[in-house]
Amino acid sequence: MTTMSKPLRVTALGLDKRSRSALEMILKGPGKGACVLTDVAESEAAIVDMDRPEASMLWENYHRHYPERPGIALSAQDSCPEGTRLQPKPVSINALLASLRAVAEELAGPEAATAETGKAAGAQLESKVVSTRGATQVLEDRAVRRYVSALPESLPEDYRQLSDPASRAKLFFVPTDYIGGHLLEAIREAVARGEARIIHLRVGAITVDPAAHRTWCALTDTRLKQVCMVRAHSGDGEALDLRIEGQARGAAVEAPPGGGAGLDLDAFVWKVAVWVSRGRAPEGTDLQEPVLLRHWPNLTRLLMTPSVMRVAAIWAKQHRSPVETATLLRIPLSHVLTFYAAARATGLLVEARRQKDELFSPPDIDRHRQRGLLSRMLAKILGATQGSDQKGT
Amino acid sequence: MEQHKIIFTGPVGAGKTTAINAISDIPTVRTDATATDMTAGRKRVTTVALDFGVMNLGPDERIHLYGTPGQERFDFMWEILSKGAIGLVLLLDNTRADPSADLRFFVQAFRGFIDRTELAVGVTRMDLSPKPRIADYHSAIRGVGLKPPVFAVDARESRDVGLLIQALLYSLDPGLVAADE
Repeated sequence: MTTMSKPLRVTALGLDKRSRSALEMILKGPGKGACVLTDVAESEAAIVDMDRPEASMLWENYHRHYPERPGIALSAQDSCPEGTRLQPKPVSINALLASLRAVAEELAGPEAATAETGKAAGAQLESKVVSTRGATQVLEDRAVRRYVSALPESLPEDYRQLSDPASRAKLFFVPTDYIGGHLLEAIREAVARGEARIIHLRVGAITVDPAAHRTWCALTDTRLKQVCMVRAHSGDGEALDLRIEGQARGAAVEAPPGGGAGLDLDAFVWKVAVWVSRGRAPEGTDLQEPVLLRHWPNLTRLLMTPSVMRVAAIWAKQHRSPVETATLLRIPLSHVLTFYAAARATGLLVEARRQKDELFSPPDIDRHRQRGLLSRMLAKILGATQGSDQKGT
Repeated sequence: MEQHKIIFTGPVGAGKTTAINAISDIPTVRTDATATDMTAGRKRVTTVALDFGVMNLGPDERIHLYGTPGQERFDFMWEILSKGAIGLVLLLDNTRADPSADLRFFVQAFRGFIDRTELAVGVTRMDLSPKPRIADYHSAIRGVGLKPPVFAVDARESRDVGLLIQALLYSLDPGLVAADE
């Protein structure tokens, strides 16, 4: 778990007395005391039984007060709320302990200090964590795939007329409803004006330097993702103390102490957009409007999402709408919309304005004469770099 | 046994050998190949370095990975090597004096081959020299009517090289699905 000397403090939400007792026995026995149950205020993370009637309310309340604290959702369903990782029922002891270990690892190390140090002017930045590929990237890839894949895979025929907010929210999102959307807007404005920005959050600061095309972020990816997904219109934005400090055009930008080289601005914007989107398109998107990529995204340095290569390959060459693309590639629409949101946020999309009443539809994807060989090569490459990304594409 | 090939090209020191090594099933073989030019009516022999790696797809099928000699004067070898190949991986070294000129040179040299197949571009050593940026390469290559994937890569990282090859394969056929899926 976190360390041998300092057990992870977890609170149990929605567990009845019997389940709570069983959990305590597991943590003391097979868990070897690396994790202890505690009350809400002292907890570092939460375990919530999502199949209890009051569970959603309990988690939302916890998450609103402690957005940086992760949760483990025990559920018989395939989905879990924002900020949690799913632990499917029936819960095995080993699987639960593995999830707790993963939570402890998220909280351990550099990010543990972030919330405190982020308040100080000389925040200890963690650009290494943010920019590191490898294991962190793999975990993120898997996490992205999990929550993106859980979204609806087909488009309702009457999607334009969807009036039910819940149904509409499965396809579309309003960026400024989320802290992440506000971050994107602040960065977009900074880039448009050519002015640096320091975006202050209670949990840490983000410095944006359009001239150098870099960002410095005092939050780890785990924490940043949680912050991005927090809803902004219900007062949570105030709770996070979102404040934007502008710098005059041409003013020198001081890299925060310990910030190193920072992270490429596009890579930062891309991942924030992915986290805010979670398989949905920005409100106002015409899902049947063809789009084209200005050029391929730099995918070795971006957060990978499911089917990203295939969507990039097709949109680099052909005008295709999101709906068409999902159909042609036989992939969930949510995969396409995630890519759409990230590509749009990074300015890579061109709306093609193809006439929708064209007599002829564009040709299907050209099938390569050696598709069998290429498929075997792809399987080989995916196997060789297993875990890095793309297995789901 | 069926044999196919992918060509890795680029200037000297761009990371071709390292990239091949990152995905090859055998240690990269650096071959001293002998090239002969008979056009002058007499035998002239030149020794060049050729990199060779292998990806085994099965007991009866393999992909040969060829790294071209980087020296421009050996470009006649490139045509021989690329004949029948699946696609081209171009590696550029961002610390060289004018990597954009390298891009134009190699694209021009392989243009016929690229038009018949596909191209994927990897830019190495961007950590040492961040400029030109990836967007600059896109601008340069758009000028010659191409729109290939251009990725920053660390040629030592099999993940990076693997992603570049994936992009090449999906460029050839976006409808591709891995054989075991």
